[in-house]
Amino acid sequence: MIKPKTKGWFAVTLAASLLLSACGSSPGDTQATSGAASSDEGGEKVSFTLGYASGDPAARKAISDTVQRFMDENPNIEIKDISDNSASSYLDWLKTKDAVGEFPDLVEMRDTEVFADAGKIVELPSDLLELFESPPEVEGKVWNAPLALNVPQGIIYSKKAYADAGVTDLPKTYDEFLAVQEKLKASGISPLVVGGKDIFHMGFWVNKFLIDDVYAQDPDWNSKKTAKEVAFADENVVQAMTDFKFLFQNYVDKGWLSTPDNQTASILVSGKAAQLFSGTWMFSQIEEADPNFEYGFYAVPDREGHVNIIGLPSPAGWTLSAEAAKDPAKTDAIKSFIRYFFEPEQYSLYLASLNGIPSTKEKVEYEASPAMQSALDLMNDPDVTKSLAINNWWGDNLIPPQFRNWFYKKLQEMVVGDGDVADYMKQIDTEYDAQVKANSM
Amino acid sequence: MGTPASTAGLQVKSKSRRKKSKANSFALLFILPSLVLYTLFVIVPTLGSVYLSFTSWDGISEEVRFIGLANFAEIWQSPRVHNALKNTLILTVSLVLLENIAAIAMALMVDRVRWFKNLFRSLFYFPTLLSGVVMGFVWAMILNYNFGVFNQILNAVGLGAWAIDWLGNPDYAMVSIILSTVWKGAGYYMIIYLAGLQGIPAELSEAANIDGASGWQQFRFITFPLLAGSLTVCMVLSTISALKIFDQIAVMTDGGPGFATETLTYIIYKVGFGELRQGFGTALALVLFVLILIVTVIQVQILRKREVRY
Amino acid sequence: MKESTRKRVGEAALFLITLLVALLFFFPILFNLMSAFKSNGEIMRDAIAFPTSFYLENFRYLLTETEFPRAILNSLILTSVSILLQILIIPMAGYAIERRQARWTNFVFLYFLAGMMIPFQAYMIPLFKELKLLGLYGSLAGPILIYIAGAVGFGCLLYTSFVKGIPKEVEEAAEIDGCGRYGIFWKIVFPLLGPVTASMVVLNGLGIWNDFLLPMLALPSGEPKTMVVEIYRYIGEFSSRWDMIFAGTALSVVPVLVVFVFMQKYFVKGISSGATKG
Repeated sequence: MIKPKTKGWFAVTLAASLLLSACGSSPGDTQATSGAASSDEGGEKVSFTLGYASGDPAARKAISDTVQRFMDENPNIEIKDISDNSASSYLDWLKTKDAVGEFPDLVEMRDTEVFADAGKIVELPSDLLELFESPPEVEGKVWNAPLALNVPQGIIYSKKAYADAGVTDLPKTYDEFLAVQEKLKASGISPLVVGGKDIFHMGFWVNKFLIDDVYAQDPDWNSKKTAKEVAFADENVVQAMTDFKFLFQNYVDKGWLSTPDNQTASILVSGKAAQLFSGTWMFSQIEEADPNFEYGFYAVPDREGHVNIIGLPSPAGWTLSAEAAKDPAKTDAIKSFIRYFFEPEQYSLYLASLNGIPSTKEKVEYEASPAMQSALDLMNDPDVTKSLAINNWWGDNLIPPQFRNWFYKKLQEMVVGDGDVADYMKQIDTEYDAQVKANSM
Repeated sequence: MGTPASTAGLQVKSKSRRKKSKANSFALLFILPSLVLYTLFVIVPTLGSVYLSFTSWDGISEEVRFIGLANFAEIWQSPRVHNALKNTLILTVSLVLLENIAAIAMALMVDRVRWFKNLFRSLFYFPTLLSGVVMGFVWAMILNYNFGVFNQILNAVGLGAWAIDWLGNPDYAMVSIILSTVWKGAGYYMIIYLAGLQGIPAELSEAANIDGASGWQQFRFITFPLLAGSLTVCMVLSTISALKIFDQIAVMTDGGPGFATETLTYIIYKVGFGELRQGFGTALALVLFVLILIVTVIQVQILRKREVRY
Repeated sequence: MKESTRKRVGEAALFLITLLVALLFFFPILFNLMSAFKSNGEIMRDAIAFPTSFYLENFRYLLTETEFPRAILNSLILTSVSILLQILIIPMAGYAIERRQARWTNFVFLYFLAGMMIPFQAYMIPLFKELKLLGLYGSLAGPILIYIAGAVGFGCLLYTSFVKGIPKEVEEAAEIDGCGRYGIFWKIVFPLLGPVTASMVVLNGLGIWNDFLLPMLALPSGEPKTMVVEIYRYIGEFSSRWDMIFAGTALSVVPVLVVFVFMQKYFVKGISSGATKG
């Protein structure tokens, strides 16, 4: 999984370097092993189901490998992995599972509040809390064991394509960024590949613009929208979406709507396109597709030259279902799996596979590529504004759960149909308000 | 009944009643398994749908709240539903017309062609044997922008400028779905038309030949009118199957780009399972059911009238 | 003479047109089968080219490294058991409805026919709650029962009209010989219904084999479902491994092809008899 080709060997003590508090206690570690050992002795076989977002092949493999090792070491616990990747979004998948009565016992939760409100999940058992540095709280409750911290998204570019197009310096402002796109286009390469068949991938760009023009200034924008104090038809959102539309109409590879997310890496390394906008987890896919491919990573600045990235913690991660919590044996099995998952030896493999940033108190080390190092530098830079994607906010800032997918599809329609942005934003306001109303019924 | 005068009659009656009840019990025994399963797995859930359509149930919580006609009011107003309805109608009208035209043409070819009749019939029919998922995938691969055969062929013959993202372009995505569904469906109706053609007495066309009627005239005034019975059946069947189209869309476009290929069946699935608004989803499903019912009844009425006229 | 040459030319032209259309029709299937014998690289590089060698790696991988064989088995079980039970249950009902003419049987008949109009989507949402409630969710039994229930309307329609054509005298003679109702039906009537049964087997069997939504929703996750569902899953999961998906689709088509070649006549009969009665 980790390609040994990486040039610089950086020992990243990520947790320590990123987070202020350094209360370096490691009782979690000792308990983890003892927990696993004790469940060995019980004769009764326990089984639970596991569901997670499996869109990223490397992360999927890392998790299923961890599951396999855990089962090898704990023969009396059986984990049934029910994840699959067929639905167009993870939320859709999870809800479908729920609708047919197959809600996983242990689930990677991304829409914590939605399922918490429906009574489907329970709070994280309090004895697991100590494993994590600062797990995000929703109304004072911790529901999730965060798989990793949110990582920045940015441009992953082919060094060769940049050199061929005569791009020597990385852009400092958004206009410089557009100039780079123009140069790339002139050099005959398709500037950007977007995996728009998977709606979340197109969302990376949508959120980049939303963060620059909306969330960086006002992290509480969503709650104001719900209260109808602000609107999508406001100038700043219209500006963000105008930029989005312009970029997509001019610089995105023509087949983007039928390209799935996991084909983007091979299109990038094949030289069909020069850049890809995604998160750090993409690095391992790129190295898998071509170990000799030279690439770099940077965050796209806004017009004033500020850099705003996704990077706040959000309530997401391994979560126990309410159903499973009723069964003490299951709960114990799940707890010992969670402890096992976050043991440094295991956890580092998972993190390395998707270039993640650890959420645990304990230091976790793996070798980071130069591209990963630039992502970490962004995280550590106090001048870089950290924010979240539209659907990752919580509390009053939670958007109606079905809104995100609809919104992204509406934007697809706007781009391909060359719709008027202001007009589309009005329609989006109407639908948002209607969904808020429908959910309160 | 109890009057002495009718004792003899009573005896006869009770004998026949005994026989009747025996016949009834045998019939009931024979019918019962079907009746139970059908009631349990078709009618009960359908009634469940009717009930749920008046609620705001999300499919997971314990609480089922009755909201009257609010779901139907939302359907009436929702632009997304209107769009899905519009797409469904476009799809249905195009499919019904194209599938039937193609099927009649193919039936005529197979009927008239001199060599390899059976082979041709099998070739035309074969696509109908494929599942919507398999067929949708194969077509999605053929039409893929980057690696698809179709664009490769266009490039090879120097028409590279025509190569577009067939399933990612809102204008062509629907066309692609329609044409690939015609490819898959027409063979089925061809068989029905073929049976109709073979029922037309040969003397009729011979007579027309002698009268000097052209091929088109023969078709227009003799063959086509005599296919009226097959036409009714094919129109109704193709309409129902077009209104229910789902698999191809799930595989080829996922309702996209945007909402360009989102149909009623697709939105029902999405809303009911993916968005957990099962109350709203079932309300939509009932609307679809009523739509199918109305369209079928109207079609049968009109087409039957036409049959009589000829 | 002139007339006959004109006729010859016409025939040849018709033949050529038909051939062209037929090739067009067959192309996607040919493309699928061809691609199944190519490596992923070959498919991506040149989709039109014929396979360069008899490349079986895709099939080997699919059949030994994945759980596809389980999916094949599930498809086979689901299809054959559903069909078998349909044949055990539905002809009896059709026969009884036709032979026992009464107000209530007539009502039952209409009640069954009404079901033909109800699309699956109209009742699928409560159906899953019901399956869960009855403890049928997550096993093959659920879809099997649903397939039988779904076939009742059309099946009764076919069988009643066919039973009508069977003279009652045969049954009466058998009754005098001391045959019970079951005996009469299974020994005497049922064999006469052979052609309808064959048509129902091929048409419904095909529908179940190819069904997607029901097995996707009603079979347990985390293990292989049916071939069609597995192929759908692969489309999401291996979206950059077309070779595997082509091999999977080819495998799902082969049994259909075989059945079709041997039972062609019943497909045709089933469609046309369903059509004239429907």
